[in-house]
Amino acid sequence: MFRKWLLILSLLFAIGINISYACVGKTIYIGHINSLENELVGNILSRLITERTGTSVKLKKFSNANELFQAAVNGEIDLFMFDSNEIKAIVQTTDFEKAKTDINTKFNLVLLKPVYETKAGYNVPIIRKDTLKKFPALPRLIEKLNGTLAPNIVSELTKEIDKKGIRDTVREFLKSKNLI
Amino acid sequence: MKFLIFLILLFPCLSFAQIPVKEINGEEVWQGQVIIDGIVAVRNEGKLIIKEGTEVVFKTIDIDNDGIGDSELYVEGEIYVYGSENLPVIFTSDEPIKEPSQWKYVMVNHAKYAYFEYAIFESAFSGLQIHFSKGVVKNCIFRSNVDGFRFSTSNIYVCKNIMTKNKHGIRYEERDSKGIVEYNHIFDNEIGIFPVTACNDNVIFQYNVIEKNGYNIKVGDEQKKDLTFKKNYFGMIFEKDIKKTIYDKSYDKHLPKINFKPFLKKNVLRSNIKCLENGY
Repeated sequence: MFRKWLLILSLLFAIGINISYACVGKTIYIGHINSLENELVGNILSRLITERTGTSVKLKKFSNANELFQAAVNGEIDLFMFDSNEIKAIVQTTDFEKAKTDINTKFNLVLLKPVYETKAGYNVPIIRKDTLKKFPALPRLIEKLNGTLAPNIVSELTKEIDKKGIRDTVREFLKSKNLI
Repeated sequence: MKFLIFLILLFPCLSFAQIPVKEINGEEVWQGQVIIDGIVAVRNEGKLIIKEGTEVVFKTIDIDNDGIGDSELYVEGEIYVYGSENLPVIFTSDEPIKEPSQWKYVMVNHAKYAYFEYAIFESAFSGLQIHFSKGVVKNCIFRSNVDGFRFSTSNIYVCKNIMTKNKHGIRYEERDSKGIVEYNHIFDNEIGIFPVTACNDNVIFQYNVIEKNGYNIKVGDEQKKDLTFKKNYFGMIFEKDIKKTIYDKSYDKHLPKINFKPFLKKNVLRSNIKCLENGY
């Protein structure tokens, strides 16, 4: 009996301390491959989420698609954009819908609606299942980007980065679309 | 069993093992200069009184490397900050150039009571946060923070403060809060007022000057209910101009509406205003 109470008290104490020291806010980690285009899209996602929800967002760079995907599986990142062909390759299928289900069940990752079309597929936001539980409204927010990005727009925006820097380019783009 | 208990107890300590914590359990009075290197926690039975002219300096440390300073003042008991117009209490970092997030916050959480008068909060992640508590904040200045003043689930009276050069002047999740926010001057912030979510119009914003912010008011993506900000001055006299400074349904059809009419057409003469003594 005494042990039981001690355990309950210990749990309450531990939870209490964690609550006390965890009030800076939630942070979402977004991963992207180390290229200007991917950095731009990562920054667009980051800015949109932080401005609209007040949630802190941090970006992490990875050298290739495999590392990026693995980081999400390992829980180092919460959200990332991925090419639909890469997704199909990972689960070795040509059927996108099957790939979606397989990624969900095998890796606990949820594919959201594609944000924009690329030359040979789609750029798809992928979120960890546990992140989605914590931030259930994220898919609806990210969907607001649908129709605003296309390869030619992304290419134009990457050129603007040279002149204005990534921060202002992203901010102006999102403002021009009334998204922030 | 014993090992399990040991692990449970150890876990939170491991996360914060390197941040020094000083606890206040009785009554303590601060004056002159006070350096906070880590965390000062006013525990449930503690009472902290800070006298006019006191400079509370938070050392810039970032042990968890999250870009936010780790030094903080955490209050579960009572805090009374008695600055004066000529000798305000200053909460600041130890850096010569003040930037947001150099220290964490003054956090009032599940506290007995909080009273702040003539205090300056600068270069913090959040200048002041009040949650699950009753608090009065009068004649304070919040500048160069990420969030100037932030609250949720509290009974608050916030009067005649200045919020400027913050990312968010006032950020709040109302939840079960009640109170009045009046005669404040909220200007030159990226967002003047940011109702993030769960706001129900139980906190009344009135007679504030909310002007020259990136957006004067911006509704969070998860806020559901329309909100009222009547009888405030937005630095403009035409409705269509004010509307542009409020990010709500008019920008995104999924967001609720901010009702700001009737709005004041003249600046509020704040210098003539006397705030309520204890807010209620």
